[in-house]
Amino acid sequence: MNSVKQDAEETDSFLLERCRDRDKDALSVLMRRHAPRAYILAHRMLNDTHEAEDVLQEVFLKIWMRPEKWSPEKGGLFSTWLHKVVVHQCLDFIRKRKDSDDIDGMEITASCRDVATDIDQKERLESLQQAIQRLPARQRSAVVLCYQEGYTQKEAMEMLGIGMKALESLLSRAKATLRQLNNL
Amino acid sequence: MKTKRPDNDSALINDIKRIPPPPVPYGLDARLLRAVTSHAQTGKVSFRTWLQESFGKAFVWKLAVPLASLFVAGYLAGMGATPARDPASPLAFPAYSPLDTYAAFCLEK
Repeated sequence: MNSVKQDAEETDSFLLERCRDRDKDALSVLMRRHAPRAYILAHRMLNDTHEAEDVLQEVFLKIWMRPEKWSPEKGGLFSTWLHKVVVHQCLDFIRKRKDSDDIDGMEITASCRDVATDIDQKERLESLQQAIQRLPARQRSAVVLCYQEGYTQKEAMEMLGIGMKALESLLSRAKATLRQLNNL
Repeated sequence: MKTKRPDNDSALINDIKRIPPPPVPYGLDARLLRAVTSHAQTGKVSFRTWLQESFGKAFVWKLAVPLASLFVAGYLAGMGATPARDPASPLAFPAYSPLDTYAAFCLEK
C-alpha cells in the first residue's frame, strides 16, 4: 500500500534519473505505470501478442540503456514520448516483416463483404478491427493514434513526424478503405 | 478551419472508438523487467553502438568511417599494385622505393 502511494508520488523524470543509476526498482515502477497502455497501442498496431511484447521489450531496453533520451525540458509528457517510440518501433517491425497485407488499391474480397453485411454489433466491430489490421502501416498508425488512443491530430502528426496535410490524407484514405471493406 | 464530417465518417469513427482494447497479459511488467535487465546484462549491443558509447557519436561519423574507407581503399589499391611489381612487367613500379633511391644517393655522395 505504502509502495503504491510512493509510486504515484514519484514523477517519471525522477524515475528516469534513477534509471541512469541502474536502479531496477525505478524501471519496474515505470513499467507498471506505462507498460499496459503501451502494450495496448503496440497490439493495436501489430495485432499480435508476442510481437507487441517484443516491441515493448525493445522500447524499454532503449529506455534502460539511454534514460537521458527523454527529459521534461524537451517538453511533453513521458507517456506521449513513450507512445511515439512505440509507434516507430512498430513501424520498424512491420517494415522488417515486410507486411504483405498492405491494401493500397486492393480488391475487396467476397468474404469481407459477407462479414460486413453482418448486423451483429460485436461481429461488426471485430471485422472493423480486422480491416484496420489490413491497412497500410502508416494509415493504421494514424487511425490507432487519432481514433483509438485518443490523441489530437496535432499530437498524432508530431508523433508520426508528418505534417497536418499528410495526416489528414492518411486518415481520409484509411476511412475510405474501411468504409469499402465494411460496406458503410 | 473545421469542416463538417459526413455522417458516414462519424459512424465509422464511433465504431472504431468502440472496438474494445486487447487484454493486457498477466505479469507483463514482471516479464518485461526480467527480459530487459537480463538482456542489458548480456551486453548485446551493436559494434556501432559500442563505438558511439565509447568515443561519442562524432567519432563514428567523422573519424572512424573515413578512416575505415581509407583503409579499405588503400588495401584495394595495394592489391592492384602487387602484380605490377613484377620487374619483367612493362608497367612495373620502380624496383626501389623513393627512400631506397635517396639512401643510394646519400651513399654515393
